[in-house]
Amino acid sequence: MTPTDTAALPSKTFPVEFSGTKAGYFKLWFVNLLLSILTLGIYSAWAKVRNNQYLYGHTQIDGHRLNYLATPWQILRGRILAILVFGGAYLLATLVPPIMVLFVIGYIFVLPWAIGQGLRFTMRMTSYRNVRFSFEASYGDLFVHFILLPMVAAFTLYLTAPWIHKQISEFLHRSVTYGGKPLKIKLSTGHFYFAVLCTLFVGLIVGLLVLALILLGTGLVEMSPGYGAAYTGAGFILGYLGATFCSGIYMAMIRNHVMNNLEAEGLASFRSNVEPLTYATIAASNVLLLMLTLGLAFPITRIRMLRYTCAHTRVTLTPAIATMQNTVDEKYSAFGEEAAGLFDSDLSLA
Amino acid sequence: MKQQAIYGHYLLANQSRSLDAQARCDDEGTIWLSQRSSGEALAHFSASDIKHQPLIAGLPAELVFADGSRFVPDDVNHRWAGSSSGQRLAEWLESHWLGVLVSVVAVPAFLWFMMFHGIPRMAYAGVEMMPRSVDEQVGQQSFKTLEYLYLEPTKLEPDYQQRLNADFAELLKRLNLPAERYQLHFYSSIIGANALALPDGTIIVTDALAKLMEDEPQQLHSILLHEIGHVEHRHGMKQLAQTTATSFLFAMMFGDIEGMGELVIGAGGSLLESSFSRDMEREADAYAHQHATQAGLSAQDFADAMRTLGLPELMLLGEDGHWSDYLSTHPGMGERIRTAEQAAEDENAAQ
Repeated sequence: MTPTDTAALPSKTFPVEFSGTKAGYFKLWFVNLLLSILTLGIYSAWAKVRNNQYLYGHTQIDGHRLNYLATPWQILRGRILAILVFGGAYLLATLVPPIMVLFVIGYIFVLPWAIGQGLRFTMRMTSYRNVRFSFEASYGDLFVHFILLPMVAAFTLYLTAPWIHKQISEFLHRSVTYGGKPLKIKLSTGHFYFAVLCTLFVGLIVGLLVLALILLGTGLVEMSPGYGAAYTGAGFILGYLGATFCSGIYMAMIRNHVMNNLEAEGLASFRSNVEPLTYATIAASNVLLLMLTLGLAFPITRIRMLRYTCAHTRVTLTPAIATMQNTVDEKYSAFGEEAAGLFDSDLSLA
Repeated sequence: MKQQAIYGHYLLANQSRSLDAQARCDDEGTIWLSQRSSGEALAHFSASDIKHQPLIAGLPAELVFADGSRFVPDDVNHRWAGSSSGQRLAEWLESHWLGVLVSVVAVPAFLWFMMFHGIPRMAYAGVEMMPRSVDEQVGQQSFKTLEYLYLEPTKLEPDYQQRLNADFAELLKRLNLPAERYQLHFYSSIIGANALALPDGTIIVTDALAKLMEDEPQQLHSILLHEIGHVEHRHGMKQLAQTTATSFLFAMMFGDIEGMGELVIGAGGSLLESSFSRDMEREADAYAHQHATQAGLSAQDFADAMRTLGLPELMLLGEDGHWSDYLSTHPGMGERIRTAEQAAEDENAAQ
């Protein structure tokens, strides 16, 4: 079949089915955590692959699962290389302090490259129906979107931040390719500002609520001295939960807007109808769960969020989805991704 | 003889085309693929051309063939005879609560062992092997940083400074320590009454401390003795080695297990650091007590010095069993005074 043959056939809309379970993922995550610790971190390359394979494989669209294709050895090699490079640079900077200045300047120029390599690796290791994704962006574009624009935001007192977020979001998505074809996206600046306004409004209400609770707490402290530290701690936790809730509102609104304006031309379009209040509630309760369990509830929080977002996402596929050719070659170094990880700038699309 | 047919999708190499297919495995391990509806043969691959994909609970056991095509069984529970025992073991561990149960016990036990025994021992042994010249390099570097951040020129009388320098030289002589290893400096500082020892043998006494103990020189000497203990035990280097080893190990262990990273590295790291630092303070205290007689002092002087230092914060003296001790870089004042007085009693008994 060629694309012209299939053009006449109707498109079909499919749900994104997520079949991962809390208990199932918890077991996998925890056992991998143990093995990583016992091997002093060497197994963590395997752990990363298995975690991703579980989450990708349990995501199905139209009866086909996503595949995570990276091999543990690839990750391990990249990681060792990255540690050697950064360790060497660190050692050099300790022995010859003036060289630090050079490194700081170098960092600014290497960072966009590392981010680009990281995204490229992640995308290339993701496939659907045996065809890989990729991330194709020029160094200049990466530099503009990850160094220059964030600087502009800082210089304009973050008043331009929503516009800049929109630019970065558009850039990230239009650089993703599937079977060699780039995705298309057109976002509205107004929507980003609107999302910020909504978030600020919710933030005002949440802020007043937290403040009322803190004042109430102060009253209680006066009645029961000796628990001051506990109340201060509770105040900070409340504030943090409130902030997570507000950022959840923003993230949900942006997610809907991005997904609804994203398409792979002639192949696929997306629909997201995440409810901001529900999304924010899940995000905040996840943070609370993590705090109460010292991080051990992480796999459960992950599944809760993925279940919700997948259930509120639809993908419309044209018959041409069955006629794609893979254009990405298998051999690709994980160095960039691990470098990006060490730079602490791991980004992920989705 | 071919075994039972396994239904699934056959994804062609480098294409998104998917065919409803069935796979049969024969006795040699060769897989025969055919169209499900027509039974028409599609391809066959011998065992050496088949790559078994990792087995994950609840997911089909996919096969990737030498040409890049892929077979995905419909039945998520089907497992091929040819999959390796290592893969089966990983899946078994990940899908049984037994594995989790073992982890719940083994993870904290192993972490505890590494944090309180493995890493400190490695750090100690590593530093013992390092030449002293490294200490000097590191010490000079941290001296520059400290000077820039916290220290201002001293306002002490030159006479007093000279007197203290002479006392310090005498102290070193009595202890049979090389004078060139040590330099005593005075600075005015926002850190208050305190003394610091750097790895290269630089000992810093703040103006506030020197003034506080102007009339009690033995007390100041006992504190200098404590700082000499830090240098002789090479505590600065050990702490540096231990912190570096810990953060490296933690980054390796938890680095990409999302959600664990920041939490464990942050909380664990600083808790560990303060526990390590408390141990070193105790070691330096012990050094001061052991060498008190040789230095012409008594362990009682150290106890008195602690009391003088503690005076402005008398509250701290009594409560040494407080939970916040775990966050503290120094042992409780009460504990330090008791230990010093115990050592003083032992001195008297020995005479």
